Amino acid sequence: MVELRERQIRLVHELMYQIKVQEVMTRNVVCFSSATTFREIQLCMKEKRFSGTPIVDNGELLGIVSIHDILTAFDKGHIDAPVGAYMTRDVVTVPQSYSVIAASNIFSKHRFGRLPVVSAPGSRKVVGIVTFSDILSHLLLAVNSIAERVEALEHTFDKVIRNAKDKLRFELAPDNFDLAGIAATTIKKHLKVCGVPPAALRRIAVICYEAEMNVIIHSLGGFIEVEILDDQVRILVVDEGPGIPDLEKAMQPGFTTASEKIRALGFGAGMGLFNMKKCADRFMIRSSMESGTEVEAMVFYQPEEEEAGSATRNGNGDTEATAGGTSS
Amino acid sequence: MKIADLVTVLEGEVVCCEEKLGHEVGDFAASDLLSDILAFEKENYALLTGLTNSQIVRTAEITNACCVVILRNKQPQPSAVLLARSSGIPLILCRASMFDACCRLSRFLEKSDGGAKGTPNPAGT
Repeated sequence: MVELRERQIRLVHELMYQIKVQEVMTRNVVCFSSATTFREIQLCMKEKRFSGTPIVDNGELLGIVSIHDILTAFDKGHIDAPVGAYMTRDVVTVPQSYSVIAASNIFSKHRFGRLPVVSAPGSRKVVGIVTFSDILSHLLLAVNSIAERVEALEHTFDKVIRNAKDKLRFELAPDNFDLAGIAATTIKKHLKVCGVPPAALRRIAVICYEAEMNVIIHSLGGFIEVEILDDQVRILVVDEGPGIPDLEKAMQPGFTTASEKIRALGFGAGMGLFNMKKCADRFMIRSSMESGTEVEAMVFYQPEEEEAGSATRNGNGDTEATAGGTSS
Repeated sequence: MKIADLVTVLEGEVVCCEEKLGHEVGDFAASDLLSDILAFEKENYALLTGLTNSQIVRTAEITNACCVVILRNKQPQPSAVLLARSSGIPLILCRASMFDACCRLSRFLEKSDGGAKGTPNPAGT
């Protein structure tokens, strides 16, 4: 269990690398000049409910005054003196472009309540202020929004299923890699409930998933429609373009036009259309540079036979050449 | 071989779905390309990969994989962990490279088979 907890903490760290200080900081910072007295700042702190403030002259950060400095000023009797002579001058700052992990490391090292945020490394221009609780609340939001985005789409897709009789239709938006595959998994779950046998189910799911990824990676958006008939499932995938210039080439295994960025995510092996065709009993593709691409795939199934000897189709598999192909 | 044995052999760390460690591993596949994995005709298999995004878990779900092993001490993306947890697929992290992990599994299978079936090929079909 200790390991699990460590893992969760490391996941939060991952997010902390992605989130920048400028996303979590407070921008409208109350600043004072070095001529302000401790008492003026103390009254303002009480009124506006903050516990530390940067001291800035001519746009340059000179120091910081915290509750601690105010208490010391009361104690030593210089509460009515200008802060310039007594403020903390050795201020640690964080540039706005740094990740929140950098800020969090400073917090754990120095135990400050807040950090002035500067415009760039080495700069004395204050653009905001950040506290540890700013970082924490933003992090919680980030974790929540990941969960919510997925839930929202699943909810939309669940509604499709509830309203469906024998035809399901899912709209697919381009470029949203994180959500790719939700339509395919939703289809798979639904067809399972409808009694489609496992071997056919797997082929249908692969076709839908490949199609869904293609639409998301390559097109301007589209939809996937699945129709359940007595002994077959018909999958129709239509996108809004831009179309495939050379269909013959695109059908060849290994041919890809995906960018390096997409390939780094594990997509774009150039096997998509080939896989879809392999999994389908009937496969048709049409593409035009005007209207986009349309794929129709049929998967036949006979409940009794499939259950008896499932997964016997295509038993000669041609995957040995690809196993561990890009192993690191 | 059970998923728990795989975790021991690879000195892995289980991120989620520990309740499934008693399940049998029927086969193995190792790849960093999603479409390659989708082209494997395997069921109930352990998927070894260097990918860390949520799509690797989706691919596992679509193809009925029994667990996903992320290699080379890489950290899974938070969305991958959330998805693995919600779809009930154990996610295992390990320090070994893909080659090393495949070798270790191969040696283990050889031993437990008593060498009777020849050299298993965990990375291939």
